[in-house]
Amino acid sequence: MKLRYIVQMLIILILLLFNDGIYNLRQYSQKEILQRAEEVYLEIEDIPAVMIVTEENSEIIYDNLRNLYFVKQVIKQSKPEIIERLSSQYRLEEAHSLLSELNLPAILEIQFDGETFSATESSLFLQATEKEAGIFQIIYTEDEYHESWQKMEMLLRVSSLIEKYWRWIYWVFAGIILLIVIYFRSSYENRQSHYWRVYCRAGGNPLKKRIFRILNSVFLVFAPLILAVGTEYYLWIYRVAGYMPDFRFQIIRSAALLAVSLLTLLFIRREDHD
Amino acid sequence: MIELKEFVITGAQEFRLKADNLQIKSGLFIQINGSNNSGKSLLLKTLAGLYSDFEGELYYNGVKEKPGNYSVILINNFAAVLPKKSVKYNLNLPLGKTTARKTRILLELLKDSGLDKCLDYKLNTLSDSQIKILELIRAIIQQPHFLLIDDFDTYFDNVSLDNLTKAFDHAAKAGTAIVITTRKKFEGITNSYTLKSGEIIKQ
Repeated sequence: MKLRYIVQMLIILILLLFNDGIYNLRQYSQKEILQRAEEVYLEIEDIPAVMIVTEENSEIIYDNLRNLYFVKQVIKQSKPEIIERLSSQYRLEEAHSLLSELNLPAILEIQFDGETFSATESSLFLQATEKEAGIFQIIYTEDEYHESWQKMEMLLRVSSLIEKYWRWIYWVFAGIILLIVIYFRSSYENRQSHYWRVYCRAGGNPLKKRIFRILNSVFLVFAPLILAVGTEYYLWIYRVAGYMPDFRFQIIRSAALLAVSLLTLLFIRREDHD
Repeated sequence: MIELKEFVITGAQEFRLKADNLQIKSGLFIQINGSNNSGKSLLLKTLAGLYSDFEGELYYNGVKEKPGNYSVILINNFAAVLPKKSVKYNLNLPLGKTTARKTRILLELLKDSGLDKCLDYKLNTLSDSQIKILELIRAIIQQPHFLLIDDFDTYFDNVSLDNLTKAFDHAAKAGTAIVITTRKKFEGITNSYTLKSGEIIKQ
């Protein structure tokens, strides 16, 4: 086997692996973005809004808040709970009965749903609380969420950019591999044409020339394809970095490369005459 | 055997060669002589299937056949060798697995021609005549049905012919018909044709 042919096979193998790398990179980056987004969601969920409301209105406000799509949960601390907490925290067991007589407010702790809660939802939350009667105080500022929202926005932007363009890069690169295969096949066979001309004119079997040309076309892409698919299969089977190959694309790409490699034979210069 | 019927080859500048009378039988040594531009090379190329501007029919062993669709080797001004490769490589180029007998004959023929001493030499160190001898020996060892040699007298003189007697004998025994074209007529060849005024005339 000629060195030139082996080098061509190696180049095709590297390009195929690079092409698969684009797919893998997209898969990996989206997974990474998702993981980071989860962290941001948790950050948002970790900062609750606190609302001090009258005991009488607390149930209505509780229900209204719980129905908001961006609210994950509302924790209500009612009068008996507050008394219980105060008496245990400040050792006021003896004053327990005295505290029961007091007109204490209820406390609502609102945990937002990190996935849906953003600047728009913040305005909706403020609008919703404005209408409610019986609210003494809201302990809530948008500033606490700004950093998380900015992080989220950036992650979404990067994610959508990858989603928008990765397929283009992937298929265009596959197209470039096709063109390279055409170039490799035609340049190799054109270089070999003098050899085959001499071979045939020396009395060699012309059938051997045809068989060799077909075999060269098949092996130039077949060997790198087998290695590339084999590598992907290995990564998939052994779950290296959670790799999940796109075998449908592999089949289409393999068929296209083999077809193009064989069809190139039709365009190879013919030098049968003196 | 090759027979040509109503066979006319057309060349450049309205050149036409009527080649009706040519018959090439197995094992014969045939000489076709003619002056420059008489159509010698065109005729051999046509018989080898390398030229297709002709009319008429060619019969191979009584069956109509396309020129070149039989075992034929043409030796002409095209050097069917790889100059950067050795004599040995070039000799073995078209040969598949050779029998011990063939190898023995090949060595004998190489010895007679003097090429046995330069088997490892690169082809570009050999003279044109030596290259043609190599091509001839390589062709004969393959035992084609027809061996066509163009401008025979350009590459082979009487000395080289003497050295190649065994090779021609071997070809004749194997049933290979050898057709040579020459400018001057070689004496002593019984099957001789002359190309004159666009026709092939049996002598």
